[in-house]
Amino acid sequence: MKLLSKYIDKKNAGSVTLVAEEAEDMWHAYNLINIDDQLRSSSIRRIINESSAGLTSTSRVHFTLTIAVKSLDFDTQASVLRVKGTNTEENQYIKMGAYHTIDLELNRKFTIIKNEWDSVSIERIDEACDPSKSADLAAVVMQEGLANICLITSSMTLVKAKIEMNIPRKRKGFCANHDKNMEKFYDRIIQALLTHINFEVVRAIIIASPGFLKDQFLEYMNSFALKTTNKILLDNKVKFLLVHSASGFKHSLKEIFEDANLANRLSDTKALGEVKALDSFYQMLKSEPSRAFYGYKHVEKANEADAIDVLLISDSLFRSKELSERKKYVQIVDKVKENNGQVRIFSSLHVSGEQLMQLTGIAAILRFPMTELEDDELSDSDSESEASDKQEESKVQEASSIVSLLEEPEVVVTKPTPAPIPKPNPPAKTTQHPKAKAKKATNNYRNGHDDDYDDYDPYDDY
Amino acid sequence: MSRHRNVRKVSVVDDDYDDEFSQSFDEKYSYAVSPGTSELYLYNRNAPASISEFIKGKIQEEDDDKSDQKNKSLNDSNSNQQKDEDFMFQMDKEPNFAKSNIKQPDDLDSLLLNSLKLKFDEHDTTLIEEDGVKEIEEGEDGKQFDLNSLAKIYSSSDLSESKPMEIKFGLDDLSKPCNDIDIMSTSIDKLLDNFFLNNFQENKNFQRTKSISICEEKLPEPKSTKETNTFSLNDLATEYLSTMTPTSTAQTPLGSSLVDLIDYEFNQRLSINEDNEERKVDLKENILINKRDRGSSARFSIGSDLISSSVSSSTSLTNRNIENFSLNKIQFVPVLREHGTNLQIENLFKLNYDSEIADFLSDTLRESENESNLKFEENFNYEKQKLFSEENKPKRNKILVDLTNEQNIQLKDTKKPTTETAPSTPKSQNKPLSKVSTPTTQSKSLTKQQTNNLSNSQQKSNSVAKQLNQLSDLRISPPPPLDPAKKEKLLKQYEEHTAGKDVISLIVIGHVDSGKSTLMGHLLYQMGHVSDKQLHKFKQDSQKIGKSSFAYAWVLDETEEERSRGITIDVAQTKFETEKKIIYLLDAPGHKDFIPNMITGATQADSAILVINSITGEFETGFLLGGQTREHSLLVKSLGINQLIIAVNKMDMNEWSQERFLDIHKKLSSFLIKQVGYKEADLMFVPCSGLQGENLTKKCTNEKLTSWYNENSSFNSQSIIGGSTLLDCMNRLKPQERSIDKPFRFCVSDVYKSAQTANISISGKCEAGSLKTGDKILIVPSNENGVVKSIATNDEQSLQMCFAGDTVTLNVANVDINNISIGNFGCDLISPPMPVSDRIRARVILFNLEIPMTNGFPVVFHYKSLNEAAVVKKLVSLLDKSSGEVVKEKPRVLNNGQSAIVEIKINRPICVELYQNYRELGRFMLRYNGVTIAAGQITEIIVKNKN
Repeated sequence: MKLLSKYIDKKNAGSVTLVAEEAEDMWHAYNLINIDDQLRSSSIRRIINESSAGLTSTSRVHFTLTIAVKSLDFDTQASVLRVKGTNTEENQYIKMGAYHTIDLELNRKFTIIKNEWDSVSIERIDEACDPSKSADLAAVVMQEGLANICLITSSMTLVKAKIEMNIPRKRKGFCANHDKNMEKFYDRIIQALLTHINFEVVRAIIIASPGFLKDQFLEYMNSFALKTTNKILLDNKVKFLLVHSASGFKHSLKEIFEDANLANRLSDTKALGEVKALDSFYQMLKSEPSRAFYGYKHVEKANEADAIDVLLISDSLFRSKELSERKKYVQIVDKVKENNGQVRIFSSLHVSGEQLMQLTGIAAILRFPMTELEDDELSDSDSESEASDKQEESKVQEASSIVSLLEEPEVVVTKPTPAPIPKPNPPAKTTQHPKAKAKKATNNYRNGHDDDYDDYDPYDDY
Repeated sequence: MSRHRNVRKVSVVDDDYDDEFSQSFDEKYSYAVSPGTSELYLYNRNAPASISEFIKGKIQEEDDDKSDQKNKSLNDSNSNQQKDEDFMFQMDKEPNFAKSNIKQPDDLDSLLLNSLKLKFDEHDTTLIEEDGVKEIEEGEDGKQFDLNSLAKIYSSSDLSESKPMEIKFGLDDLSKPCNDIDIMSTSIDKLLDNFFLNNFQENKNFQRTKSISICEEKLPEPKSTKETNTFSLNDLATEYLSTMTPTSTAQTPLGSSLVDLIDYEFNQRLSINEDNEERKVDLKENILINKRDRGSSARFSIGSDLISSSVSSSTSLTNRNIENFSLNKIQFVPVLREHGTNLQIENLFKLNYDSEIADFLSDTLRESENESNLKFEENFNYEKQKLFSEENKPKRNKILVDLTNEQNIQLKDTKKPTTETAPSTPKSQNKPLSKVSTPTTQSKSLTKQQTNNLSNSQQKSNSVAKQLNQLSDLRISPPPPLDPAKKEKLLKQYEEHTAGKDVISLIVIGHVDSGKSTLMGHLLYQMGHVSDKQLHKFKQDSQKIGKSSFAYAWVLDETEEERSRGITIDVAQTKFETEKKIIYLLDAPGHKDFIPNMITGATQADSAILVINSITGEFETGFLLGGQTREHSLLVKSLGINQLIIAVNKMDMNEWSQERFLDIHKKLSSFLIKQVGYKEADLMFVPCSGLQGENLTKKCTNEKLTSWYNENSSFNSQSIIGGSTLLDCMNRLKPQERSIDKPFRFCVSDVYKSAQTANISISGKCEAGSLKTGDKILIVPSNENGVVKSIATNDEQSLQMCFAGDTVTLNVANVDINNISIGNFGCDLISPPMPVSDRIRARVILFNLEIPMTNGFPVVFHYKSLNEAAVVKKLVSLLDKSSGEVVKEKPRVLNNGQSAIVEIKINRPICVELYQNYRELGRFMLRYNGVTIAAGQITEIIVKNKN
């Protein structure tokens, strides 16, 4: 990300102009732009002109416009950010208040105008514009019949491909079937690697699995590379690293980061720091449970007592649609910093961030034990997580309710649409209950997008 | 008024129908009754239905209960649902009756007689009940049939026809809630068109199309019913014959291909329309009301039919009507489907139905008061009785409700095409009904029960949404117990199947390199399952790569990878028989990384052999914290394996030292008993040597061992039996209890394309119930269904049946391999399929936790052969480890050794069963970072309701 200009006044109102240079910058932009901010960028609109003779001609018009953001949509797979809002600067093509959706593009500048730039946002700009960023990592986490191909950047872990195959077990006298299918399985992984991973960009490719699967795979891949004289694989042979993991599921990535052999290679990766922080939280929870708390209510209380040493917080909390929610968390962050506490903002796209999000999104390691908190009910945080659960569930239910295998349009219609359907015309700034719900829904949608893509397997058709 | 008259007539017929209906039951038919999903019915069941007997037994019991009927309240909320179900049932049966037309005229006479008789019983419910009982008994005999019963049956068939009418009625109401028949017919026409269109549109989806097309099927039938309804009873006889014959012939094509079906329906549709046209002139105002009332009455009456019908299904019906029904077999499939679809319609209509019932009751009451028409009252009474009887039979109700629920669940799937018509119908139906329902106030004469019933039904209509929500629960409800007769038969078959031997699955566990595979390989060799030639080859080959000691292990370690590395990676399975047991042997990997495989194997096992490496130092490493001896024994115990044989291996390396053996015995048994929780009586220690093959099947001849280990030597522990070999220990294992009387459950552990045929081979373990060749199987959660073409053991012996406890390979036709994966389950089509959910609540015991468990803890969920990523969503409550009482609600964190209720969300929906319903299927393990952190029992399956 390139920072072109920054005008922030005393009251923290102002604008920042940025240029996104790579896919990950879109993620930062997504985290920077909030509902009700203004965004100025160039965009294209198709204009239909009708001449007096009744002839129509269409033309694509480029223009710069400013919109008041109503909703954001981030596609993790394509790293595309779509910002929808109403026009605030009338021009000859588009009226005041008309809806427009800006697709933010790489290498095109855009300006974010906020009434108030909070510390978290400003920090994020700094982080995003840090040139000493580490390069990407690729990882293949696998077990027999399942492989996840992930791309790990400093603030994102993207599952690029998930390969699932039924591999017949060994049976008396029929091992050929098993071996044949294993080879097919390896082939698919190699193909997925070649399509989804840019070998020039990634610093290392981690192959992780339980048992000897990883060795077998590497062996197979090398022989495959030789056989097909695949230059990409041959040239990048050194980049492959074998790491042990307990399973082929995505959350095993956490183990990989904990692997001591990798530590030096990953030292400056944000993901590693997050994993370590979360691990230390759990260690503290184990050794001194009264010094580790999670859930807004507990953390808030600990914060009031200036007890927080390390604050772990998920960035998705700052993407809340409601300003008050956002402020609430920003205040905690600010206060912790004031007290020389450490703040770790987890990316909700990383595995550890995902786990933190399940853990209500906020957790803290304290300087001193606060036993009085232990007896407190978790009600607040619980209800929070429950609410998000519900949203999630309704989504899952919809997507894959097995009970009714064939989806039923009729039911979907009659349902009170719990799904994250953004309202077409949300009532202006008076965001109360209905909107709050919608917020949670979208929020969840964002957080859960990985799930949506988890099942995506481009090789299923083969 | 005229409408009421009509009602009367109709209901008279209904009454008779109820009693005897049972006898015309086809055994096949009983499958339709049974609680499968509607999809289940999409398949034609050729194999003789074992379930019919099952149901029959049930019914017998219920008949006995009849005396209690009056005492019981009518409030059973299930009754309405049941009725709906019954309603469907009746409809389906129609074709069968059509076949038995020949005798009908005579029967009708008797029917009349019967009805007269009934008339006198107006207020005496018991009489009729007795009647019913008697008849049922006759049905059971299967040989004694009186004209009376026959007559009833035939009359009942008329009733059954009235069913379709109701639906039709609903349809026309939909378009116009008035009595104008012209409009009605046209509306029906339209609806049919809709249906038809739908059929074609849905062609892609085979199942769906089928079900829909059958749904249409019903529509043609109303034609005949209508006629019968409007005519007087006398006319009925003649009319019946004339109308029935065409329908019966027409129905034959049903069994044929889909295209035929559609064609047929198309024709039917046309004819119906014509019929309607004619009738609208003749029948005028009467028709609408008549139909409706009939529909409801029919519904009432059918309930008891179900019972009796199912009773007779296996015996009387088959005896009497074999020829007739043979033809029907073909029709059967579609009928079943109809059943399913009907249900769905029913559900949509549910509201209406309930109110309808109420209306009907009030109407009838009024009728009787005003006109004092005897016939009518008969009907009414009869209905009453039916209601009572139905409601007073909780057991059957339960089953039926289960059925309905099941179908309801499936409703959505099959019903989709009809959505256009269906949703609108309820509304329209309601309107006219509400008009009629005002008279409820008049119905003072209603008995208490009736009023109860009324209010009940109304309540019900209010709580339809609630019900729908409950539907999913029913899938989770415990399986209905099997009736004794059926069970006996099953047990007999089981006995034949096993030749009196106990079936036992044994998993061999232990630390890496304790010699598990070698021990088992040698055992198999000694049992004669490995030829000398094979062994020679193994010996030579293993020598080539410098691992000659692995020759015996190669018997079980067959993949290249396993042989070259000298370890077991995946579980190997073999089967052998001793004089007392049939043993399925599972050789588990000992390596830590392959514990998932080991768990898969252990979930299939009933008992375990723990192999201990007795070499000095080796036992200690395996036993120390982090050693697999410890983890494995914990694992198998928490997976419900209660018997353990401890094979102290490699004793030859210790010079068969008694001291070493006893030392290991002491250390291990204290661990197993105190920490893991085994009983001493369930442990058996045996010294042996896998490589030498000593003390496996034959008594050891080595002096060093026999000197202290023989029949005469005594040990101060009951877990050592002097002189016994490993095989003796296996023979001494207590037989496992099997749930062979429960619905069929088959855990898929492997799927592959069969080499010779186009079928799919699915191997796994039959966990509950039984299955025979030719049965249908439903694979959940993908809801694939197919036919089991053959059953084979893993050594390619083909079987006729498999029972709970067997590890077999099923060759299944008509399934898509892509929709089946390891960890899926096979169910039968008779009982509710396994519940599916991605969220469960479970009681867990935590161990080996490196870091405490919190909300949102990511784990790998191991359930049977399945492993899937999951998240511990919520810590519900912390339990006292010994008493099981809740110590703390919503704990913040869980630590080692604690017991708790947690909510787990699995990444994708899977099939699970409650621990209380299926012991075998209610357990799971949680692993994190390659360590088993918890074992659990499923206490609750959370199925999300859409509303």
